[in-house]
Amino acid sequence: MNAIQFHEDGSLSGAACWRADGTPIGIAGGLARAGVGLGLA
Amino acid sequence: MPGSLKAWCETLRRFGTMSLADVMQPAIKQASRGFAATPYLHECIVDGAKEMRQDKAISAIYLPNGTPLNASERVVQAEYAKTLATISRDGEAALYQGPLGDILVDYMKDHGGFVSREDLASYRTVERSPVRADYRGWEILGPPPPAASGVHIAQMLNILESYDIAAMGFGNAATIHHLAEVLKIAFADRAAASGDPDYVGVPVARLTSKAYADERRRAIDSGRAQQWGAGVAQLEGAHTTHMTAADAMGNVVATTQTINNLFGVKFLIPGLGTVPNNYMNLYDPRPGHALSLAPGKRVTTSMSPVMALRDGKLVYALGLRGGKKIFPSALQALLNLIDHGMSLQEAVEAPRIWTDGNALEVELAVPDAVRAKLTSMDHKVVAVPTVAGA
Repeated sequence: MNAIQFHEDGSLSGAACWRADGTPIGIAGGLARAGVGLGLA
Repeated sequence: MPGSLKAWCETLRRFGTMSLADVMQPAIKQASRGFAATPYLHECIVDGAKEMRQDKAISAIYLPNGTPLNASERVVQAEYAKTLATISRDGEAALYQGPLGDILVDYMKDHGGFVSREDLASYRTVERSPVRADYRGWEILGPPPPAASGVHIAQMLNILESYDIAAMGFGNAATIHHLAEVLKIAFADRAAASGDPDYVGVPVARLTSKAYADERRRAIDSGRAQQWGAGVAQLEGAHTTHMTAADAMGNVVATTQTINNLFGVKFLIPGLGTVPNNYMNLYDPRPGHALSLAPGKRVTTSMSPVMALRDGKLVYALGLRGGKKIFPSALQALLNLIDHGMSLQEAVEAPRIWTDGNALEVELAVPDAVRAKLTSMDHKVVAVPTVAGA
């Protein structure tokens, strides 16, 4: 399972489940400002 | 019918800001240069090796020299990379009206399949409004029929709304018992009334009404498990993929896709490098049922990308893989967030349960005493490592 929470201040939290295989791309388990840039290695 | 490509391209044109070529570039790179197999992928190959060995093309990728790829070995899909590059250059027309479609149709014709050029050319996506549920002041959005998930998440939330789930607490026998009974009710109704709304009258309004929830809730015994009647057996795989994403402009996507079982049909179409899905086994082979086969009919699914709004503002978007365990798990995540006040991370990780009317699967993290209590309430409890894979 993966999920995103949208906070009132415009920030986002991402979460991914321990049952998942591999590592989620992007935010997970922390806070990121809306508009944060992400890139694939 | 491979419909996802058309839906993705249409979505990108309507909502996206990047070209198809740019969006597809990372996937083309992964396919052409390869990526390191994970331990999980290795296990998946081992599981499917017996059937995949019957097809040279898929074996060449996943079973080089006849043995499953090991973790950290590279998965290179050169032919698939060319297919993706063709799509990135020519758009979805390459499949639905072009050379990729010709390869698919010719392969099907030579191997007893039924996909024709006319089928590909006439394929259309259908835009439908989500199923909406009102749960304790939250607005929950889920996928509508042919998907079964949105309807039954709404139904289950309606039934549970009259219980004080927060006061009952998380993970104890009483809460799990009520969850299990509600799941069994949903699965009983799902077996009878899931299908393509263009072909069968799915009673969405009744199934998602508060009145129907009241009717079903009144039959629940708070101290004893009941049989709610299982219907048509489903053969849905548990090997789906889900992604949730958001951008700075407010676009949010919760999308679930599948080729049903791991490696789908377990063969690869030469010239395309793609693995077809084996989703046809979700149809009911008997005529006269909601899920019976018919030309042009769209298959049902348990996929459950869901969104939860408060006062009209999006607060949560989530989803997962896991076949028939998807929508019960999505329901439990919503309860964790709304009723149990969990953080997002806690909500997706918390121990889960599942039943479709037979055994009650309870994750090992649920204490022995709780499982014993559930057994005493006539549940056929089975302890499992995980409910729904991810």
